[in-house]
Amino acid sequence: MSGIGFAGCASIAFGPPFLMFLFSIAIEPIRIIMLIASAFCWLLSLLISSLTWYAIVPLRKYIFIGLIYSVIFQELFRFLLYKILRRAEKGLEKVTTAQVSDSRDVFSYVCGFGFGIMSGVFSMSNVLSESFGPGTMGLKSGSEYFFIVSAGITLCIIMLHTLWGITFFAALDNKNWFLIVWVVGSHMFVSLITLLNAEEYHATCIFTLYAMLLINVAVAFNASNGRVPQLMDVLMFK
Amino acid sequence: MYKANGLLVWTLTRMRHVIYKSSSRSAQKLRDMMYYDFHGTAACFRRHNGTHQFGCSSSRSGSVGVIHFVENEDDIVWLEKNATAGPYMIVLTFDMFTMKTLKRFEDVDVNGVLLYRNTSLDRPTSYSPDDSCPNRYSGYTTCNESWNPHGSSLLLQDWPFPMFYIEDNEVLEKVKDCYLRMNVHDREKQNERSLCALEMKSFMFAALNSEACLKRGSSNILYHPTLFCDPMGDQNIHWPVGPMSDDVKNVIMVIAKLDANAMYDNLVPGAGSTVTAIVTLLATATYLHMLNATISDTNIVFSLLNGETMDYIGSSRLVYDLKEGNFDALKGKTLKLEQISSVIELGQLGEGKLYLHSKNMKDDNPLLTTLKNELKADVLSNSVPPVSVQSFLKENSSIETLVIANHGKTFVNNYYNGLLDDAKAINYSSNKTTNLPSSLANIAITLGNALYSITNPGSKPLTEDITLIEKLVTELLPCYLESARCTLFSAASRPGTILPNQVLPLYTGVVRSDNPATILTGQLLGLLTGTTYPELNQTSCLEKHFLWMAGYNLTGVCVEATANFSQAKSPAFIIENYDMKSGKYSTWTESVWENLGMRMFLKPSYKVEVLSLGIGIGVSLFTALIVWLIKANADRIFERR
Repeated sequence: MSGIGFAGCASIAFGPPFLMFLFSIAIEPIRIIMLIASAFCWLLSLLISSLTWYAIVPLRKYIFIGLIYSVIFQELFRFLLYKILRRAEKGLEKVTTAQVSDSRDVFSYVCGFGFGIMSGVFSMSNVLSESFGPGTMGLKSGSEYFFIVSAGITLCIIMLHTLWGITFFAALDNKNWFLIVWVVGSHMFVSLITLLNAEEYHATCIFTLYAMLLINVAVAFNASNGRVPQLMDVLMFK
Repeated sequence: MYKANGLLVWTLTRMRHVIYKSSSRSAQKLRDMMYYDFHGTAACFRRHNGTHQFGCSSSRSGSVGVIHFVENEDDIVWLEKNATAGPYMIVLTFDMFTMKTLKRFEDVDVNGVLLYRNTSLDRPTSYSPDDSCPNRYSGYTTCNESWNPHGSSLLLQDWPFPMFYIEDNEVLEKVKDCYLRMNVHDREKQNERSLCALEMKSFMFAALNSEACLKRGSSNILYHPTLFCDPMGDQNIHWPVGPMSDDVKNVIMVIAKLDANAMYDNLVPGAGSTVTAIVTLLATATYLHMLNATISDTNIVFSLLNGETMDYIGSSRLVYDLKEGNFDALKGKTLKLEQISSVIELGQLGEGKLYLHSKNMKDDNPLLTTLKNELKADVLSNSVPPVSVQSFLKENSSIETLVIANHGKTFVNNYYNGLLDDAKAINYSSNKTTNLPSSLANIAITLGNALYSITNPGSKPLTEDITLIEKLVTELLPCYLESARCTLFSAASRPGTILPNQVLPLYTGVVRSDNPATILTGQLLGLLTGTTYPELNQTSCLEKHFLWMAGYNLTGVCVEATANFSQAKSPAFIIENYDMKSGKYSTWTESVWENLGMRMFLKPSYKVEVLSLGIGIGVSLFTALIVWLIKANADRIFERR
């Protein structure tokens, strides 16, 4: 592609997250600290899952096995992050002006977002660098929409991570085991669906992912005690 | 620690394409899917003389264009009238590769030209990128004759686009496939879809002219000796039949050029224009060495001159050195220009009729009459083809010169200084019997005998060596025309040397690096005309400063060679404050480049790119609105726990 292609892909994948960061995270220092901590947690999970994948030699050739490890470790680290956060609440109280116990929902949002951003960066970086061109996909295999689809999927994954963060933390607070299973299950499902993209079922892949995104929006909204009528009012500018 | 880190990074990167397979294939794999890299291409590059630049260069990052095959006039007209998706990369057949066609591409949106030759088809009847009068501006008089009737002067143009050449049919099939699949159908709407494109990388660092690029290169030599261009040239090879003693009054020079030229990097076969003459000169020298001629007052010096296609670099340097009294490549006394009585040049040779181009020679000159009668050649008196003798005449217009060639007033070689001037062009193959070796051997022996009778008046040379010379020519030809991995070149190298199994390009190149063909030829002349000492081993041989070569049985032999090299760097680069624009000496320089390469890929359609940008902006704005709305009304929407 070219400069335009690169700008397009980058704005699809990282435009919305950047604006979210600007409007809802950059406004308070403690949120930025949380974001970085959670992004680091995601990196740790990647490290552990890659070591596991590397260590278990006989399963190394199956790509989906690595994928399963990574989902398991990501969710494990999300749980660890939750535990640490809840323990650190009192300490955090001292270093910030914000009411930590009152902004628990915001923190779960920030943590999910940190996970999403990091995974997005990791999955998109080489695609972005290739999107500069001068070529595009489709000479030997693949389609010319590969870059748009990849960017769209990355955006979806970032959003899903954010929503899973919210749902997961709320579920742990309320000891709602069903929601925890839901998060892990849908994460696993989504990851396996992305394998379809490699087989060039672009449309199937992207529709399934965005359907999952919508469902997860509903679940997360419900988990964080959102009220539908009020939301409707707001969206209708009432 | 470093190793552990390496492992970590490795596993991390390997994992990248495990998680979210969708978009995380490893970068290399992604690139492999997008690009098809060409191997075995040859590129046109840039050269300069004192006033101009010639050849081609891509843009710094590589020139990109949509593939367009040009096979006939209609294809060009379409390009001029209806093309919408420019810039284009022209893929050109050999018969369309003419000055007229290429000039038309300069006026349309063309970013490069890929010339291809389908090796299974007949070759074009003529193709010579050199001038119709080669070295037009460096002869001893103005050139008004059209020596090279097929000369298109393609070499003497500054092209605004890069040019590449392929003759690999498999690669060409790939290009054609992609072109037919993506570009051909619905040509008027090409700009609405993604198209098959080529990228050519052949960026040349030098620009303008030799003076400018050399000056630019040396200006910051204190920090970084950055080079933009190098003076062209190589080595001349000389061998005197006898030692240069005080008794020697006259010297007859027997010369031939050692280089050829062509447009594309590494494809400079020069079979008909150069190889036949080199081989004949080597054979003549060997023959005279075998005859063991005694030298009294007339000596004979054999010289192979390099860079002759680039305005006579080698010969002008030789003449300059002779004039300045600096020529000491021959053992013994320094040779002076005044000592040279006549210069005999072996021009383009081959089977068939021969011509003797003489200048300042009387009709009853014994050498001339002998050669005329023995070779049944036509004499063209007062005729000087564009060959090295021009340099001698430039300095001393009364010197006797004689050029033995297979052409009269126009070349018979239809591929002069072109990439098609190969073994096939002169109808040679080591597998079939041709008259070429015997024709060349005949010239060598006749010339050898004639020279022998000058140095040894009255005595008759032995004639039984004739078959040996023919055998030598038969062995020499494949070394230059088929593969450098041949008996003679192996014998003339150090033991154990692995020679490239290919035809060595005869392009002069730059002074900084020696051309393998020059080195091998020089060593071979040393072996053929030297004295061998079978009793010496490697150590004692090198102690005596003799040459240690593999020899005919490849086990190693000690040779005392009287052949020697001299630098073939134009005097223009030696004379201090030489005026590069004066045109007196060759000022050719060759540009420095980093890489030459070509790849094919799909160029994205503008539509898809704009679509992606549109989606990106749309999605971002939408998200901004939602986030802002929810944030502003968070207390209303979410119930406090």
